[in-house]
Amino acid sequence: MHPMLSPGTFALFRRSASYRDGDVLLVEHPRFGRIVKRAIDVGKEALWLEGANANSLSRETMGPIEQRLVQGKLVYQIARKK
Amino acid sequence: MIYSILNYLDRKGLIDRASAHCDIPCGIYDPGPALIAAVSVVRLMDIAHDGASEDPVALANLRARCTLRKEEEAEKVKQEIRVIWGDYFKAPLLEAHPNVHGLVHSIMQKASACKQDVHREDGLALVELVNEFAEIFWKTKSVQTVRKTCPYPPQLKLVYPVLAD
Repeated sequence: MHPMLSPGTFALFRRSASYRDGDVLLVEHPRFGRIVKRAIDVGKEALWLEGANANSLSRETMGPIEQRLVQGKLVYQIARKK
Repeated sequence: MIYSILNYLDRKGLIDRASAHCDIPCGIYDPGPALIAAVSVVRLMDIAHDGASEDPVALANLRARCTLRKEEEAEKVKQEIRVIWGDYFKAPLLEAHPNVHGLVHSIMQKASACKQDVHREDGLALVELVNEFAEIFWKTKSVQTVRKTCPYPPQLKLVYPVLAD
């Protein structure tokens, strides 16, 4: 998620009844583990993910994500001082 | 202040971790394999030049094997360095170390020279270039390095990280 999130950043996520396009989500991905990615094409039962970096995994690689796998959306972050 | 407190709690294992890395699930980068491959190139050149066997067929066989492995090890140097340069080094690191592009290009060129011929000085130059790359890499991680003689032939000075714990 660079440059939006840099390594070592502390992030606070909050559960929500629904999510919107552009929300930065904490997801328990069945293949990639606990990851942070941006939501796109949010549907009723599933949504897609994308990274903030051109080198990120593609949405197709991460696949459609069931809403139950979303742990929360980013509400606050504290980055390491440079 | 807040970050320091959170960092303390994190070290105590009280905060869950998540990956926002672009190359999930890896994130493991280390110039060590590139250095070992570069040293192997020099070693294989030495063995090829040694020619200890008096049997011409055995000698031809030995040199053929050395040449093949040298080709593979030099290519491994290029591959390992390319991955770190292309995947690990992001814009902020490149801005802090603007000479990385030129250094990587020099490594590519020198590794190719090592594939094309058996000049030991090319092998030594390749090791030195990868040493410089390793020093920059560890510097980006705030890890100190030391140059020590590797405990195996050809016993060249290599860059090692000085790791805590």
